[in-house]
Amino acid sequence: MGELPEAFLVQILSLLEAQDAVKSSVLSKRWRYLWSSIYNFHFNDRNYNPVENFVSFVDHVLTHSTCSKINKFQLDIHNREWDIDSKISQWFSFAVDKKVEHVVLDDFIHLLKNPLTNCLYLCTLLEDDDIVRLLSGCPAFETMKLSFCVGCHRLDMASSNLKSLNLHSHYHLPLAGYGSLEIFAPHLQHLHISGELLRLKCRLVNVSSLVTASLIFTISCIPDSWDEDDIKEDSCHDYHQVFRNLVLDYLQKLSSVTELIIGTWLAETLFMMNLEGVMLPEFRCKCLTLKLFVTEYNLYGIASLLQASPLLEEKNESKDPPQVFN
Amino acid sequence: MVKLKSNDDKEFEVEEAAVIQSEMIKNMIEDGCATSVIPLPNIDSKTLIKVIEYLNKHINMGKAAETGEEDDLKEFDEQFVNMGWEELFDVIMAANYLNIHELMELCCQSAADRLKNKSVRAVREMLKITNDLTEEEEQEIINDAPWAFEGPEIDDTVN
Repeated sequence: MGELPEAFLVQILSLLEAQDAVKSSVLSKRWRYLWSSIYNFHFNDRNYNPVENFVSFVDHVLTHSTCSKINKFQLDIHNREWDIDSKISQWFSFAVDKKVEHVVLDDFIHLLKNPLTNCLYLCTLLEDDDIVRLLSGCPAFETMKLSFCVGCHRLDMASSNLKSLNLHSHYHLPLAGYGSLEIFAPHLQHLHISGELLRLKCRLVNVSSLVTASLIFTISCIPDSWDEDDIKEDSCHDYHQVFRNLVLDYLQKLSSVTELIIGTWLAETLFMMNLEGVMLPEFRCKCLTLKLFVTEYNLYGIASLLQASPLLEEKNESKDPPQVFN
Repeated sequence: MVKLKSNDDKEFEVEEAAVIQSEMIKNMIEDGCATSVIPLPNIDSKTLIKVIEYLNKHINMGKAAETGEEDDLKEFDEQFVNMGWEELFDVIMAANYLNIHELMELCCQSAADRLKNKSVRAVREMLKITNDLTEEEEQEIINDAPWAFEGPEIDDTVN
């Protein structure tokens, strides 16, 4: 490692949590000031008590930083009793001044007042207003990634220039029963929904500018849930009706996208619709990608989607390529 | 096929689709400078074999991401970085020279994962760093940022 140029050592230190990076200063003379060039800042409070130690540590790291541009700024603060909101705001300002690219937060978005320009990852409990407030403060925002967020029922992105939304596994409260999430984002161009939505009905209210859409999430049917004994077999039908309406609505809202990626859940619902002779709206999609194991169940669903897409130029299949496709 | 020559004069044939994951070689090919053998004076054959193994596995990376082979690639990557420190640094240097961004990231991440939460003593031993700081200097550094050296979860094992 002695031979490795300093730029590489800084790259490696930047991938560590801040505490490990700073600890490297005591390795040898060569390492003493290397950490001050790190461009990712990942602070975790788990080794700090009392709060003053954590605050002193973060302040120390940020005041000694020599990097001109921050790539990633991540705060993992688990101690909810700490009253350090003003400090956190100050740290955010520092990150924004250093043109931070990615902010990763599991809370404290209410403290993000400075306009961020690029990308935000959130993994938090969200209130409906949080997103509106956040976006109105950050009009230049381009990408937002919400991962394992809990709570909010409406993503209102009407006023922003947000181009890309990435939603991975979103939960509603309470976890039992169906919840709903409405996406209202008329300027959005790229929408990617993946992971597990439990029983969340995610509705696209207005996504009229979308160019690419990727719907590879899964919604559980009630009988899939833990309280399986209480559910009568025939109640399944009602939930499937909910699925069908949801998918039909997706297809209508997405009829103008040029690139569509669909996953297993959607293909299977299409199959159910196919069985019942539901007519699909016409699709202007040019590129369709399937991210699923093709089975005899979803094959017909895909076929009906293909029939509804006269402009299709390219089709990509994933995982298990189908044998028959007539 | 593109021919690469290591600094110990061994030649390797690599498919163009694989080798253009190296930005450097891609540019050479585009500029018409890759007509015969491409000499790589900074890379020995042992390291080059590793790099080629990576390139061959990662052909059409984009495609793999679309076709659900990500898990397969992930497993390969995990196995791939399972190497000693010295070898890892050789691959980092080679990946940097050849400008293979993903490989560089993979190897640096592996280095960081190995250093995570380690004690100062363990890091010195792993990276074969000779401590040239006096005891006073060392104490001074610790006093500067005592909070960085705290914590119950610090790991003293070497890997």
